[in-house]
Amino acid sequence: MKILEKISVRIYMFLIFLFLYAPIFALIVFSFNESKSMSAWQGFTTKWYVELFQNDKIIRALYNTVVIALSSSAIATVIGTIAAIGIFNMRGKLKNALLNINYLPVLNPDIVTGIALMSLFVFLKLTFGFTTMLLAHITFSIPYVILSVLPKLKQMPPNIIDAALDLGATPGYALRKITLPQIQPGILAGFLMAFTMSIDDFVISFFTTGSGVSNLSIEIFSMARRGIKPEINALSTLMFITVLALLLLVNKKDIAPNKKKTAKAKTSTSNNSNRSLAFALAIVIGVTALVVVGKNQKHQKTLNVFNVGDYIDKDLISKFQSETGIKINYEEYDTNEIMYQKLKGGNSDYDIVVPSDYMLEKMIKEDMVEKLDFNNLPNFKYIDDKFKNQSYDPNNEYSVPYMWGTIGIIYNTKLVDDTVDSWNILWDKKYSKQIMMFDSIRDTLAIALKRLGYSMNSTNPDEINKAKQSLIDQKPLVKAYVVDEVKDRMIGGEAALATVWSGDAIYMMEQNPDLSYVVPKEGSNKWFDTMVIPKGSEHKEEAEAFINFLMDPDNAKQNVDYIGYSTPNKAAFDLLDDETKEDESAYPSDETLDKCEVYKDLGNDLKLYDDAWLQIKTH
Amino acid sequence: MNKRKGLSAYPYLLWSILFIVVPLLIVLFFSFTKKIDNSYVFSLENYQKLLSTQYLKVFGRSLELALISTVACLILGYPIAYIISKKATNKRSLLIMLIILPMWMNFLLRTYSWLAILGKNGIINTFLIKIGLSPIDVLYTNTAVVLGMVYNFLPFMIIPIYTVLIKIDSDLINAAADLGANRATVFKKVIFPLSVPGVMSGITMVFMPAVSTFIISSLLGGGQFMLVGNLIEQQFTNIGDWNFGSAISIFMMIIILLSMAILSRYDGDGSKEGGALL
Repeated sequence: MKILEKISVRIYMFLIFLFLYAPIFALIVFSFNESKSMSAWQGFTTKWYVELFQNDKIIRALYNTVVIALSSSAIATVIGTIAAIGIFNMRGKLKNALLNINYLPVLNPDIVTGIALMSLFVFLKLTFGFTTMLLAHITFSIPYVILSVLPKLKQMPPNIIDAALDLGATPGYALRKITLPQIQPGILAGFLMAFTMSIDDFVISFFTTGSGVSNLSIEIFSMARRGIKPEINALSTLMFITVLALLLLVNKKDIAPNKKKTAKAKTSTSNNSNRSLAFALAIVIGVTALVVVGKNQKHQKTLNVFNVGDYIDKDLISKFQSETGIKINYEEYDTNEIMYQKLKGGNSDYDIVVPSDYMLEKMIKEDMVEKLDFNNLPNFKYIDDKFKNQSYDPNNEYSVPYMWGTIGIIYNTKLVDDTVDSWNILWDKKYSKQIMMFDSIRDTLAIALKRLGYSMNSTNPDEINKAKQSLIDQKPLVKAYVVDEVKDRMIGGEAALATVWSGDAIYMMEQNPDLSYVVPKEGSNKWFDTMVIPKGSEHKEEAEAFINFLMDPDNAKQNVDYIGYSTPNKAAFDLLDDETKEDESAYPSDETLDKCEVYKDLGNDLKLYDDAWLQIKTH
Repeated sequence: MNKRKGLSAYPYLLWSILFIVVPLLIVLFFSFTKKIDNSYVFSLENYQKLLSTQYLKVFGRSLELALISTVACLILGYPIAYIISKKATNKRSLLIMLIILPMWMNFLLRTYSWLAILGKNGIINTFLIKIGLSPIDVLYTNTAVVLGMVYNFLPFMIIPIYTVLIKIDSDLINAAADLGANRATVFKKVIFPLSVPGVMSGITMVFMPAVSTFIISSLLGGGQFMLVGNLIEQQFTNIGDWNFGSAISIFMMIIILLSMAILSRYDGDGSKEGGALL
């Protein structure tokens, strides 16, 4: 019996630890994977570790994370400790009220704290960025400091302070010599707690940052949606090894003296102080490293660029930086709507954003973009005339086209044997749970509308309702609603059919030759993404310099080669190789394009789409 | 210090009013208003909208998944906390550190990693196919979301239970045994009742983040299982209806605070002065 019990306990422990550590080991293993995707093993490499240290964005995010964690937890510890001493000495209702308020951030879900702080910062007209994120982190950290210092204050012998004062100590002296040493473990625990919370926070940071300032969590979140960069796997491996080494070191030190101690001696305090010492050491090392990194980050001018995820060849950013000395803060978003909300709601200071046609139309109507000075944009002459003066910017005063493309279906020829030429196949029960749809309001509804023979700019509630109903009917067949994740999933052969933007399709087909792209016969969406400068930009000239830089034929060619979308730049198009020029996926025939519509801004009627979308998603 | 009756708490009082109370009041204000032509008009419309079956279903689903995850965490976590608490001092502090250790790695990364494990061509399925079994299709289902929650929040259950268990006076256990109780009885009558406060804070610490998460459901659920967290996030990022988003937040807050109040009735150590959660 005993042996059986012992074995089952062992097995159970093993399984739980396997459960806790399996994902971490997977990350470590894949950090050595040759392939970019986490779907398949393609051979051993250490190149991601090299790339990690060259990836400015990740290093920058790491830097922000640690600086914010250190400063917010240090400030929170000071405020929290002072407050705890005060609260300890308080009596009555005020004390209770303060304790209750203090408990709110602990009890409240992150997301509520996040949006509440975001609303406050909007109300106070603070610019979203480093400061707002720091304030938010301090705010949610203080309660934890107070909650770990207060019990230590209570444990102090009740009359010890009075005794010191009676013996002639000044209150300040008593605080320094009696109170602080007594509550020191609580302060340290509070600091560590605050530090850990800050390092790991995503939700609150997500809602309170802006202007190109991101931390590691935000960076990872935006990457996770389009396939984690292997550099991040490398980073987590390094992080894990550091923490593990620290832990083993501390424990080794612990075990030796513990053996000598008698059974009754309380060991936990010595454990704690050793541990804290090791932490303090690690933090000092961290700070030194950061100061070194930080020194390299100093540039005079910075440009905050807010672009769609994975939508530029990053080498061009470095090239621009070294050519001009202007530093670029590059931040990414998933959809036009998210960018719009960030610009509208937040007091952000972006210098360049990349809205699509309909969104630009709306932003022009709402006076959110600056007119461009085309004297600073000589390379505009390279843009093909047929892409100038589009309906969304009739006199071409505000925008420069960046990329264009279509929406269509990508399918895996190994999993689909029917001819794919119609949106109807996305409603075919045969492919149940093998279909991936856009997680995007307009695009998804546009597909449903087109399939039913309506315009994708319909404002007829009846038509929208029918489209909505057809998407609800389709829902059981859909495996997932995704944006950028679709790339990794389709490349890995995880689904048979997916809706995609043409440029992504081209990238995916390069990675997996079984994939094929088609613009359905019912017609589709033809879209333009444009570069614009939001109102209030403080670096308009530098922003124009960057826009001009991206229109240079060589740069534009390099960019379109990397992204895979279609370029509106005539000179860059001429530089492309013949195979790309003739590729129907990137540059479809006029016959196909004639059946495609451009999105229009729908004004208040957009509400119909929002409501329909929520009903689909909550169904 | 004593004489000044807590003067030093006043700066924080101001801070907490500005950064904790005022923001929540703004959210409350949003929730009871409607934006018409750039001015805010009092309206109950947001709450009326919230009470339609469609949104109540979202709440129902969130509560259901959070409850399942909490129970799973308790069932998986209690035995581990118990086993570890029975080990020798230095061994158990190492083991508990090993439980905490994964939490120091970014939780998004760890959650993301499950995509590679659960995917159709992921690690588990590759393994299943190799040993001749049929592959499973878990990713982008409710199961994946629950798994993600249990994975992320399990340590939150283990640690408070463990903390309470190691504080139990071994004399009590010995006394019970001496008086003829067998191990099952000792557990049922002595150990478990004494560990209830730990269980309660464990439940709180798992249930609360589980009910409000929007990341786990959006990463592992594939965007088709909208939970309350996703609903709120959508309002603030994608749709831009802050008023409705605020109403959902307030409603969720009330649900959580209510369940917390109910739980704390069973929690002997419901003091707000710290310790209970740590």
